[in-house]
Amino acid sequence: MSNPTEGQDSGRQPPVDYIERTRAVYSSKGYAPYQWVRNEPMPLASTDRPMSEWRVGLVASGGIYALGQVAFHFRDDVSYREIHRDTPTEDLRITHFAYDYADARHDPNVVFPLATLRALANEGAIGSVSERAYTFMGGIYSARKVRDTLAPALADRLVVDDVDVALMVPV
Amino acid sequence: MGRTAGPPFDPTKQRDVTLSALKHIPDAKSPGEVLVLPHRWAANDDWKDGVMQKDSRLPRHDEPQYQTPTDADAADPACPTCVFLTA
Repeated sequence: MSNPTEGQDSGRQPPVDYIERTRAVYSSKGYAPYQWVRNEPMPLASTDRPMSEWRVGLVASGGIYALGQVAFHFRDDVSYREIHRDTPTEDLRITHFAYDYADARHDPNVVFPLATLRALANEGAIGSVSERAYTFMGGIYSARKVRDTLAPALADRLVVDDVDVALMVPV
Repeated sequence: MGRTAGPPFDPTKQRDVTLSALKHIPDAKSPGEVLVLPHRWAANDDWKDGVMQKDSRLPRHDEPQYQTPTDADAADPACPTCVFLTA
């Protein structure tokens, strides 16, 4: 891999301090200091199979749904959508209340790389794309609902689908 | 934010972002590792000036929020591929 600083010049800004800016926006609205979720890291799992044999699952939080499906709502929606791996990109839609989806609505691959994974499978870099991808609207303020309801349900589906690895795509 | 898997309409970079993530899995030593990629999403950093400078969130409706009215007309209320959980 090339040097990550390659191409940088003096006009570059440092990384955006999202945490500090979030604190500033919330305090300007009179909210109490934001309580960040602290998740305990899980031990790494491994697979003995080579990548060319992996069945790869895809889970994305960018509010993606397919034409014909019910869209997400914006108040702690803990539902999820199953999206078939062969769904045409032009049938994918985006809805979310808290991120800039302007590009994603024109090119859903930027938050839901299903076509990218299909191409990797076609060229043999991975074994296959799992038959169903899973999506949800990640603007859920209840950490408890995510931890106790949504996340276990998605994990169960990935186990049933017998994926070797799952690509999780936040926004 | 909103372009996690690569710049729009740039399948070459999108492929490298996803492939780099997958290739890193066997090499990962601990949860939460960050792999820094060489790609730039934008020609300059002007976009950073506007990030999180105001509350741009939309109202939090309880009803489905479709991308287009046509999507609402096309939606199947019984939707067998929509999974509604009780939290």
